[in-house]
Amino acid sequence: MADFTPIPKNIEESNRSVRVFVSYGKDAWNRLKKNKVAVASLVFIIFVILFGFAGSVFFPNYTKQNLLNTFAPPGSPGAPLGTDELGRDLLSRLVRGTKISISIGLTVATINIIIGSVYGGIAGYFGGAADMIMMRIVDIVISIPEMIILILLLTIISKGMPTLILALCLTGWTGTARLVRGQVLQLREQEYILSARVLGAGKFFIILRHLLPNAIDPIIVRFAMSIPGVIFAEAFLSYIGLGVSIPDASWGNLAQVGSNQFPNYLWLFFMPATLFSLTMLAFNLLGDGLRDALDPKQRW
Amino acid sequence: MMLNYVIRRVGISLLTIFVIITVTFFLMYMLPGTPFLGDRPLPEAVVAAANAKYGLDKPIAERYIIYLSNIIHGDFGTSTVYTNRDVTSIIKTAFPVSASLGIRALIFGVTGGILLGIYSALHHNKLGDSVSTVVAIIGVSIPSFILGTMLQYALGVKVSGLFKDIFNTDYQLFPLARWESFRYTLIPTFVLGLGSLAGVMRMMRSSMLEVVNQDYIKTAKSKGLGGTAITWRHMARNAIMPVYTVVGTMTGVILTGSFVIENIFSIPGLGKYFVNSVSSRDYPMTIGLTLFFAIFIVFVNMFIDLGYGLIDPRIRIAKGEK
Repeated sequence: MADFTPIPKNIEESNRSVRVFVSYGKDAWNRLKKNKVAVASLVFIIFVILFGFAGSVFFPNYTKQNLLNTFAPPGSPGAPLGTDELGRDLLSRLVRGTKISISIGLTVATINIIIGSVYGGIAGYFGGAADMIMMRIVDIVISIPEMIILILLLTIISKGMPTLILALCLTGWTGTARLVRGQVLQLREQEYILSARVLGAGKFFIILRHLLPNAIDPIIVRFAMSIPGVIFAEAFLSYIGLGVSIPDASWGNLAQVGSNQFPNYLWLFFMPATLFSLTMLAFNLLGDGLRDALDPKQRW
Repeated sequence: MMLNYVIRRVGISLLTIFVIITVTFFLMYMLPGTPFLGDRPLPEAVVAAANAKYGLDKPIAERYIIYLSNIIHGDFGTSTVYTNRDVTSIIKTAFPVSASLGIRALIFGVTGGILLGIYSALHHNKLGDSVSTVVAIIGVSIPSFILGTMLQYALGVKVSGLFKDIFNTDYQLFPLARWESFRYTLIPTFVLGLGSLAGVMRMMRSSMLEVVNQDYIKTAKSKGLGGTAITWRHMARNAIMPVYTVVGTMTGVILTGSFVIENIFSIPGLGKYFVNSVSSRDYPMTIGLTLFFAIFIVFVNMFIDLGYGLIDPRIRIAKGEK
């Protein structure tokens, strides 16, 4: 009998709702928390972000050359991780590279998610000819590999960060647009959309206030999954000499410089390569965890 | 009805190619400066002669028409670095090498991924499944240029060196670079195909897991079919369709991946020329090759979509009903 609590005599007590209200964010966090791998990845990512942003305060001299102290091994005085072929401190460059790569990843992923959601929302809600034309445009952009568009734009317009971010944004929104359109097509027939229309809500109000918030789960998962893709693309472009160019630093050009000195000065390659690969791994694992927590239908 | 679908699909592909060519042309037109802007100013007569030779004195509409017709005739422009070599002749010599590498990587990635995915799904939540899932996640997390450099060192220098010491020969087990016999292709193929392998594996695993609980699998079991027959004829054949749809994307990924792999391993393919053209600012070459890659990929995607209609009877019938 100890397992059961008798219902109190008093009616008001017995009518009290037992289930506590749990907000959306809290609910998602509770589910994510059960996945130890995802939490560890999240902690690691926060650590990397701190390394890049707080570190740049302590190690700002990433371009300072010292030709008397080139290829210093890790542990040398003044250069805890060694120096490169122009005597620049690898730790400072790693901090700068992390900052640049992470900033590009977060900025571009955010812009892409916003553009893709609004575009997909409009196409899905308006339907008809607008949907047809908008989705054919997506088909055309999606059918050409992203990297080819990126290289073309960076070659023709100009190299440098603004073009790089613009180019990455021009190609990255299409997947989100398709995803959100699919979601909106399902949601627009729901009763609450009808009641919003009956109450006289405008089309864009319905898209922004009702449709997109209800499709937020797959959008968040998509956001987390797209960050490593953007960082990858930037690294790839930097590696072939179209992305962030020296003396500025990013994971891609640090790995490229390191591979030029490979295998004589192993640390120049392994430090950026390891940090880069581990962060990619963490983003992928976190993305998987978020998908399991937020979007159980999409489980792989 | 099928014919309608084919015509529409071909139409979209041709439109895509037209858009790419047009956008490239007008982007190039808007570039400041002229191709003959050197360190020292050239005499006006020389510039005029050069402009006339390359047709740059004509109005923009006429130049656009000429550009379009050149590409239709397979002329992608002339390199400014390799004297007297046009882009088309470079494509002719280097593309077979790239295609050979790409096809190997695609076969390795797709078959490897399918087999690993089936294995994982059949051993769901057991050790083998966890191990292959972890391998797949690591496979998508390590950039190919990092993996390539590391394997080149580990296998090409260390393991091959050990092999030479032990057997006291000059035989290089894993060659470091170039593209000559089968041995030379092993590491590049592995590195280039690993990403696709991981992607296909994850996809095959999830679609197999969906198929495993279907009623027709129960029927197949209850009528007494053996495990192998069920796995291959009933599960894999139904689960493979999502994988088929991403082969086009995989081709694109492998194509762009080869830019870096060919550089690391000094393979004389198109990717190496492409990256060299970027670093030596050989703009006509970069743009010519980009157009070639884009057109190639659009056609690959088109044939894959057309093949999809042919392979899957459900699609064929659904299209017929419309």
